[in-house]
Amino acid sequence: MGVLAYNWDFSWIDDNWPAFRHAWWVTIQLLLFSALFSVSIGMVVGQLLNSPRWWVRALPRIYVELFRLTPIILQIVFFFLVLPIVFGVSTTNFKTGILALSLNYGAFAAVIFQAGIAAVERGQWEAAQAMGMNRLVTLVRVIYPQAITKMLPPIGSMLIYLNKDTSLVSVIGVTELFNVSQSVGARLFRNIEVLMFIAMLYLVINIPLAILSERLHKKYSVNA
Amino acid sequence: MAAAVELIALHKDFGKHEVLKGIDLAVEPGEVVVVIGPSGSGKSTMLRCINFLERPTSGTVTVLGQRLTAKGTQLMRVRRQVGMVFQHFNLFPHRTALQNVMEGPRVVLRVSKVEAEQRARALLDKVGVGDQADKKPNKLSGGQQQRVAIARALALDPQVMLFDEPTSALDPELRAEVLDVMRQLASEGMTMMIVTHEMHFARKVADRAFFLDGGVIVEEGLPAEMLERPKTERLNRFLNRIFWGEVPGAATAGETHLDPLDNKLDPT
Repeated sequence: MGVLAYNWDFSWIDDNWPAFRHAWWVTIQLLLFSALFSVSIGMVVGQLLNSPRWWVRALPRIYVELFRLTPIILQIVFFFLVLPIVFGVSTTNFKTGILALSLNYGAFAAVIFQAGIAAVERGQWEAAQAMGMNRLVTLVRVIYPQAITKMLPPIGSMLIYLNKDTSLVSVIGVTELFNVSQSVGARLFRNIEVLMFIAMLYLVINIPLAILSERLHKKYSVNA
Repeated sequence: MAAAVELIALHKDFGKHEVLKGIDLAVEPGEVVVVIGPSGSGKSTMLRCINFLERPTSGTVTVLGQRLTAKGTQLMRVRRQVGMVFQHFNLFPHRTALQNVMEGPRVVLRVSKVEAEQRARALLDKVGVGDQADKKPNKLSGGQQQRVAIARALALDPQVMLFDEPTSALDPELRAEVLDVMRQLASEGMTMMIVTHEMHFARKVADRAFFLDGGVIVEEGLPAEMLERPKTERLNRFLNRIFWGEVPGAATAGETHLDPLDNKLDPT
């Protein structure tokens, strides 16, 4: 009878919608910027990880492992504390959050790019080079068009995880969805309803992403 | 006249494993040479050193009078003059047959689209797959794919063509269509180096043969003479193995099997 005994109340939504709308927009911005930066980082670092020279691979490898093997929430708080000391300026928590998310997800993206490029057969490189294409032209004309089909499905799942993990920057006071849900919930004593409400807002972003990711996966695993 | 391809004291190691132990050879312009030998003898590695897909450990490679160095621009220039055909075709799977053949002229030589397409269609016709131009490689048979790959290499107007076991990945009945194209190229005066196990092709089309074993050239000469009267015991053993297998009594089975060209060649 426990569920029935609880008196559900969602009447607060109307009054508080502007606050949630703003927080949702912050979450979406965190997602977009971090996605852009992490994919860019992944593209460059993934390329370096495939270098035949160990001294080119060394630093990127350390970066990737450091960020993959430590908790993301630790990284977020770490940058929050360290950035002002290093740069002597106080940056906004919003930017710090994007930096931490981008570096963490950049490490994952790097591994996706590395694997995507490495999965293209060696013979493709050889055919292109035997024709007199240089490295850059080979990458753009031959390797990337094939690698991208292998990378899109994992990039799709990565973005889903990234969207969920934007909630972690609430700990450094960025007023995104989860952060706002805590303050509003505490004020209204409607924490459970508030959590259910923002869960829906996360789903509005992630369900289309999941469908897209699944479609890409099907399309390219059939064609492969 | 300068040699089309000249190798002097070519060595190649992979770590501690020495694959080429000093190769000297010269191929004249217009010559067709075949390289035969057991697997692991270094014949593919030798071929791949000629366009620096493998960097020689020591020795020199001279192609069309230009000594190859690892320097970018020079290497790219030489590679454009040397076409290569691979065992597994290595066509670009995301492009149609036509686009595969246009790719080199478009991207490397920067020829206009119209001109590249015209030339690509002519080459596809020449190798007999003109009607397959708009198909992706995975819709083509192995023999068709390899012919597209030959057209792709020819599209850069090379002076020398390298063939790395071009028929080894093909079913026997598809080999003839590829060998036919190669024979036609040879008759047009193309300089060709062919790593192959096709002994009949070697005998009828090649001007010279090299037998590689253990990273050195063990024997060289006219293909017919070498195949009929091998001078060295090693070549003799190799030929026995590939023509008759290890099975006693299967003597002529190998002969007919390796004979896709016979009815089409030798009008004499």
